[in-house]
Amino acid sequence: MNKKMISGILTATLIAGVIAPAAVASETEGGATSDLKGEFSLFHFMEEDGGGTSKAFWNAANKFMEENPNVKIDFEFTDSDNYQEKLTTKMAGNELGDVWLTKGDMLPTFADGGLIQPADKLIDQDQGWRDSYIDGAFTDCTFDGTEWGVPFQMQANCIGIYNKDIFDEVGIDGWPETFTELEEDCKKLKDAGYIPIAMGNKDQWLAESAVFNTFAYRYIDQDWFDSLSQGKGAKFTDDQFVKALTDFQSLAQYFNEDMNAINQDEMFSLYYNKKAAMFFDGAWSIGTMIQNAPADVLSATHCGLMPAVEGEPGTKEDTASGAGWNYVISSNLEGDDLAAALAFLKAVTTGDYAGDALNQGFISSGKVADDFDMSSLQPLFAEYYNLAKTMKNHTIFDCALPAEIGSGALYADTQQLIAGTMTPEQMAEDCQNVLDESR
Amino acid sequence: MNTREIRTKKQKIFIYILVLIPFIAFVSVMIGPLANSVYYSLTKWKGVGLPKFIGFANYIKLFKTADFWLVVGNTLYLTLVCTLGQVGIALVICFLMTIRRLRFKTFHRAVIFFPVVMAPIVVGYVWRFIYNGDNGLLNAFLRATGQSRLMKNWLGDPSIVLRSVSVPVIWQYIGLYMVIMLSAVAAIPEEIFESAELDGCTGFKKSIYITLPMIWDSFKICIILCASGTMKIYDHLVALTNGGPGRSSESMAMYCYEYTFRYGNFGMGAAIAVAILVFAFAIAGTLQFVMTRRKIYE
Repeated sequence: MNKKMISGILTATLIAGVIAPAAVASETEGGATSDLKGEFSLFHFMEEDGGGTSKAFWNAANKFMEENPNVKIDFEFTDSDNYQEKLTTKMAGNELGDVWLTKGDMLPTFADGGLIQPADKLIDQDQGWRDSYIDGAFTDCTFDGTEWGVPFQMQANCIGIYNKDIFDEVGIDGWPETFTELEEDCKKLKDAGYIPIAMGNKDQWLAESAVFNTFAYRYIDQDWFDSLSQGKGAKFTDDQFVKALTDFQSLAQYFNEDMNAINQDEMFSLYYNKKAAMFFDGAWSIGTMIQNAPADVLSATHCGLMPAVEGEPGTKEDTASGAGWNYVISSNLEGDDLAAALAFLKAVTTGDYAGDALNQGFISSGKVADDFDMSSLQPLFAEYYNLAKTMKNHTIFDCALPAEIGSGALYADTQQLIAGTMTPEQMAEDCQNVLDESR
Repeated sequence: MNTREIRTKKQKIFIYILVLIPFIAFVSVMIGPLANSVYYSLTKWKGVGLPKFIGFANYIKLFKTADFWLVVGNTLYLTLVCTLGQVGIALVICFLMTIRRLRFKTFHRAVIFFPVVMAPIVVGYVWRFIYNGDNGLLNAFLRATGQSRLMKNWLGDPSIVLRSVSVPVIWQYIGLYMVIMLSAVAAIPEEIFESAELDGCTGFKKSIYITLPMIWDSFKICIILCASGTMKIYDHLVALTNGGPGRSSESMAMYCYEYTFRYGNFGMGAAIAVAILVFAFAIAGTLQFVMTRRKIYE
């Protein structure tokens, strides 16, 4: 009996010894959030074994769940290629959860339909949270003067990637600063047998969203776009926009011939195989280069901004960029569940997440801690990071315009424009017609 | 035919119940959603809130849209080419299979049927690699055989893209129609062929005057199945071109999907779906009418 008692006391002491420090640690590390409780669902496209934004998300999400064991999150994943379609279907079936990811072009539908609640009022309740975002982070999630979403990234939608070894071989002295220089360099590369600019536009978005959009900001400015999107006078048929289309069509002669038949990955292959000397794509391609490019190609790879066009108002720093996707919160979410969701969104968009994002090869919408060690960054990403600091961010067309025009007519017509089967004037007129009809 | 007569009322009720079960299933999974689609096509609905009834506005807007007629033209072109290609080649192969001296018939049949079991999306991707302008098998073959002038941007040139995408579709389904027609040929009594051959009717004449009339009903089914099937073409085009360049190779099904799920315009998407149905009915009805009138075995 005594033995049993001693054994019981020892066991209890042992368990208490293990649990007590852990409980203390939980309180210490988790701070105030360790008492947080609540339950919510999240519809997202962050792959558990993915890289870049997905990896940074899961690092932050797992840490949050460890620190907040009383918060239950029902993660619902769909791959990014099919996400938009699934989201639309869930919306029609009235099956949207508590928190989900959406692009700016869907905000009017969600907001007008009363499906989401304004995020700005919720964020403003925590000044520390509000202050932890970089300037312009909320542009893509603002509709009708209200910030409806919580951004998690700040990506340039266009960056030039080039192989310096090939440039040196054909006698090109560095990245072109102007459109004329770009054309001259392209001629040299073409004469030397290289594809000057690789393009993989089979899926229609790349040429328009990741190249032309930024190119157009050499001819038009943010005010023009705001006027166009809000129906306040600017039109696609305006001379400046048509001129942008005309020059872009002329640049397309330096793309690979099968530009509309291959996709983004095949475009990367042209670059990896040293058949193409450069390409333009969103900043996400930096991470892809770091991860997949052969070592010799990666070591020769550098990046630059879309050159300016002589005589046009835009500068090379004018870039279509932004958050693109945002987390939005259901108008039905309230109480503890809402508090839990807000704490989670804060954790997966700011704080340590911002520094981890840089390590994963992308810039988040959160401010990076002052003591973050920039020397740890991969050289190509560090190069992009420095360029990104000089960029003037402008609205991404397909994130702000109605889908019929943003990811409809603009995509399809740009494909025809670069194929030479549509004139700039025809494209401008068609886009304007579709925009007018969508209103 | 050896059929048992239905005599009692109980038997009749039992038969009706048996028929009623699939009928209810059909109505609930086919007719119901179809009626629903017709209703949505008369509304303006973005997927949120209640649909707003707008009459025929979606149809009027649709018929005024140039892109709609472009995709209708693309779909009809593919329907015509694929029907001629699939059923036509299948018929020729079927005729060849009736040649007595042909060896390894089972092997030929298996090889030709093989693509049918592949997923259309896989076929699309395989052919995309074949058509690749830079490393593609087709251009590499033309280059190797000194025919570089024939090399083309097969999927990127709007003037030839429809022809390019129709080849994989034809290639994949030849086997299906060949098997249907071969089974019809197998049902023809051997004596008919023997007596025809005794009369000197061999080769081409035998195919046209004996085989074809005897399999006419199956041939007709193949044509209707093929035409109505191609009206719904989607997977191949997504894998091959995603409808591009522009909308040069976009089908009505893709257009419907685009409006419904990419643009979230459910009303217009439903109107396009109804239009596909009407076109499919019209084509199937016309074929039925034309082919029924011409009973060549009479």
